[in-house]
Amino acid sequence: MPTTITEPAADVVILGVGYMSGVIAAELTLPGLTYKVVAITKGPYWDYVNDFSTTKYDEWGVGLGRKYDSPLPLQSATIRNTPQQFALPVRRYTMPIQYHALGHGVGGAAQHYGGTMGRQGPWGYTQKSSTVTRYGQPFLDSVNPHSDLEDWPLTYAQYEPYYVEWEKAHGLCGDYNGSATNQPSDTGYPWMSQNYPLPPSPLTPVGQLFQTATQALGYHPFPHVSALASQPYINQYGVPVNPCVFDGYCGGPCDYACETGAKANAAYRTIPAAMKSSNFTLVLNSFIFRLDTDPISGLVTAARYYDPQGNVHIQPGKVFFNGMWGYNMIRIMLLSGVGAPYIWNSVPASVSGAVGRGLTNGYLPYKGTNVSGTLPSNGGNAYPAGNGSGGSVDIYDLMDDNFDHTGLNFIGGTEVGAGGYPGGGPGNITFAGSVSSASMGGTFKATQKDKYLPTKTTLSSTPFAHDLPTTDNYIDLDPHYTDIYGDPLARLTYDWTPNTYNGAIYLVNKVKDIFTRMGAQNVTIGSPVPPGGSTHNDWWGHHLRGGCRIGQDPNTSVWNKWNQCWSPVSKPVFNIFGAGEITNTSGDNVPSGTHVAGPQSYRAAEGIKQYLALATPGILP
Amino acid sequence: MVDQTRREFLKLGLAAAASAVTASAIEIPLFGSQNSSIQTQLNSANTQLANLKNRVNTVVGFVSLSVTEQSLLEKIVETIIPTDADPGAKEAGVIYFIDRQLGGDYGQSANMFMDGPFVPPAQTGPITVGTQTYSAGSPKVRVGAGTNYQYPLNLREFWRVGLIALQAYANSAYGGNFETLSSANQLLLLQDLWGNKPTSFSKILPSDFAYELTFMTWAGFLMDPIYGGNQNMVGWTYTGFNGVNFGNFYGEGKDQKTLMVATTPTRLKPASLAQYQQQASGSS
Amino acid sequence: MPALRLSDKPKYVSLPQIESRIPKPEELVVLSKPLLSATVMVGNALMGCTNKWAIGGDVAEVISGVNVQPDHVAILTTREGCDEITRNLAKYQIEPPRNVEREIERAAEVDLKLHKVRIKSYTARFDVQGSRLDVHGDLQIKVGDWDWGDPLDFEPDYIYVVGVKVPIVPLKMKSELYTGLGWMDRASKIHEAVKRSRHMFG
Repeated sequence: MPTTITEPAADVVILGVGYMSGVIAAELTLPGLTYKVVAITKGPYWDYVNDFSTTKYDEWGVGLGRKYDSPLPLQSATIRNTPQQFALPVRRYTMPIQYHALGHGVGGAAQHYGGTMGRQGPWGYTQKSSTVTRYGQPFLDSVNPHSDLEDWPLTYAQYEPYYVEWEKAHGLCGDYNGSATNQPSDTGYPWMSQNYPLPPSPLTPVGQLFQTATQALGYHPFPHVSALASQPYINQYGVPVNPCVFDGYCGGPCDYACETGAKANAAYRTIPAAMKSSNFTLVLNSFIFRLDTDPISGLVTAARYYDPQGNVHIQPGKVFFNGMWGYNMIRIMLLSGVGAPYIWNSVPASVSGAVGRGLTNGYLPYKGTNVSGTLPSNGGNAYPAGNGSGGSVDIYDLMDDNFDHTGLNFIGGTEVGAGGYPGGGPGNITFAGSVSSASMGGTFKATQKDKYLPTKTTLSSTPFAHDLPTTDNYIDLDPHYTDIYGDPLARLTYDWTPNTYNGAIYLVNKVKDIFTRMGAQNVTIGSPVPPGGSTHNDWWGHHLRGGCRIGQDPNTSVWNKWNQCWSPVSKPVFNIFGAGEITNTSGDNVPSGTHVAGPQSYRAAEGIKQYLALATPGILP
Repeated sequence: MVDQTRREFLKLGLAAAASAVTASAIEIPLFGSQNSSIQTQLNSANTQLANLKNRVNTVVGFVSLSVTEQSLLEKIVETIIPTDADPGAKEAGVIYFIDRQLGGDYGQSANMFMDGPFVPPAQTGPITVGTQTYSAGSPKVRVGAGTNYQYPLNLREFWRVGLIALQAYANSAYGGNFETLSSANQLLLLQDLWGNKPTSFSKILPSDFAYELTFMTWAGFLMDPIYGGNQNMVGWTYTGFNGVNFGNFYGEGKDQKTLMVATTPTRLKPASLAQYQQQASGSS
Repeated sequence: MPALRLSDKPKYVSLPQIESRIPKPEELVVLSKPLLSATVMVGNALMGCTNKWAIGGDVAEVISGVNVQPDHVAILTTREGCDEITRNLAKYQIEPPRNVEREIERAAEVDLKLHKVRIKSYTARFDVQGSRLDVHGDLQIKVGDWDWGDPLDFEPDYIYVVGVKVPIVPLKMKSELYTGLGWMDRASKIHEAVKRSRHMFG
């Protein structure tokens, strides 16, 4: 018979134990601090040797079965393109189309990601005002119909010190070749006050070719920034880090866990430091399903979770940190009535609320326009060896407002790069999952012979401009489907915005020039993919951004400049903080936006300490 | 019919024989005028048995597929990845991979979200689900996507239903069971499924089933042998994939840090997860 | 908007629960803040040294993932190196460099017998923001009544300590030293850490 248990009260209650939560845990348990901190996760603790080292080399079990990730029967999500459609639940993990799995346990989704990092540049934080100032409001309206784009509450310069802490904490690898006070940057890369704490891992021959070609074209190449430790390291919390062994079962679509801890995530960077403190408690295998609120003040009083036996636990706290991933951050607030839920209206001016508002996406697979070419004398094993985000070179020149958009039909752009290791994980399961009617018979079989031993390299890129928030893309609660406990699933209403595929058409020509300059043959641009159609549900939560925006206006954003909740229901619930949702973000072909959320976690840690020191609790000035 | 009985007997006999350390040749009483054809079949059965004995990780035997499903699926996977000068689905034991999966979590849809309601994708509007009406129907989804499969069937049932429908279509459109069709027609039939040519298919979309067949066949050819397919790593040898051999598994003295920045490929003998674990426990 | 009503769906989870254990604090390898700060300080201050030097002692092991609890920072170098370091860290000096010879606490266990262990070096001591730093030039070890060993020499490994590239005494050499002294517990801790740093082979 399930019972209800009230746990001892804490000062800080952390929801979920992923990347952002790890920072809060480490920062709030520093030596000398006395806060009682409790962190709760729905999954287990992972020891990278005991749990991963013998069984991780398994495309079927890891790449498709997602044996280390969140089980779908526990919780899924529903997806549709427009508000007039029925949303279909994601019923199975698939590879590679619409692939994704939520993380599970300490370290969260970053236990299994590819480790791509970087920084969002100054333009990204002022996209709306910069665009309107330079190109005019009518331009923005035409580029982004039903635009819901807003500026950030702080500038890049104000976030810069937090980027430094974030990068040191996780041992990020890169090499910033520019000037420390270069604002605005003339290289396209956001200026940095300190270089990355670790150097990049060795460049590949293709990466070097890209570097030479882009320099010749007047661009400014940088080594790709990676969270996979290139050297032995120890961070500011005293946590030692093993370097990458380049086994190639790393990132990419399959997302492998790392058996040496070289892949940065909370479990092997920040949480060990917190666990050394007697003030820190880690609660595992516990599913948070509600936040209790005080009926008069509206403040959050406790988090409620189910333990594996189905008992209910009540964890009271003074201040809460929402470190849940993606749509779960929004879902727990919607289920609990914290913050004003977003209400869609076909008339953009009549939409209301902020929780669930502004869903965007960071990945545009299987659509957009592709450009490819062949480097005839660059072969090499296509097997997995290397890691998920090293070896390549990028340029930022085709991103943000680093080039003049006058006369174009999009804003921003993308990071462009080439030369990554074949370490994104074995390609067998992604190949098997991408079959079509052509994948049968002897003639097709012959195309697979020795395909892992190519004597030439195919360069391929599908660049697109970044996705912009509109009032039509949002998250709410599904009326038909529930999780295993009976609570509604998150419903994602989303379709690609024109900025993405309009940008694609322009950018693909630029990439063609780069490939040609690299010496590629048969450089071909594929046919542009028109908007609409069956491929628009090929994404899902994987690189989801948005839904819980940080902003300047409590009516359209959930978090204020301290990452503190200020979205009012009757009154704002201001004792909950969050980091990790980035609605207005720039760049980038691939990343989920972790790198933009990271500095916010340090900001939130500072905000939480200030909040706990307030004589009268309230919105931080 | 003799052929049918022989096939069943072979399968049962081989299953029993494989569990014995040595298996003697199958002996069948000879009947007068049927001598020569029976002898031919006997020779072929003995050869098949000898081949199976030579397999590493011999996994002959089925846990889930029915007798008729075994015979049908065997021919389907061999159509998708035929044996030519190189091993195909047959030698890789693809059918055993699929059988094990159907008998396990995959077939049980254990890691799937299986709550109702069940609404197919690409429904034109308006549709009503429960008390809600959706003017634009349900979204179009690509086959292979996680929202594509919306059947109230676990995957074992899906396969059972699909194989029956496929066999019925073979008879109605091509005049006989799939196993009896020419190889050209076998391939054409599978193409028909991808193209949704059959007008009735047990209420599942033929292209959904075609995807599952093709996907699982290639998975059976290329996944780690620990799952029953890719036997003797013939699939990996064919594609030149190395498994968990990062350059020195067999003492080749190569190192992946060099290989990952090389411009010419190096063929490596593949190594499997089980071999990796054996070697790891030996060295600790 | 009121919070949603809790549903009547059964609350137990029939999913397999992944058994996991939270490691105890003493099982986690974390370098204390004072020693970490001191190491960073020293790493920065000694970046231009021409003589060979490296962080040794228990700090070198912890920053390589070995589960030990250091209480001070040690540097191994040559005699000239000790003088050069003394010049660079002058403001932290407590004791100037001089020849020191002493018996250490723990005995060596060789051939089932215990032998006293003596060390000698040209050594200086510093206080770096509250942490003790001992710099040993040309450290030599003597087991029982055997001859003095040669001054310890090695090629350092490098580790990035919060972004500062710092030379450290290679774990391999320490492991050999411990084995030679019969301190198998220390040697096995190093092996444990090395095993955790890479997959099983290669």
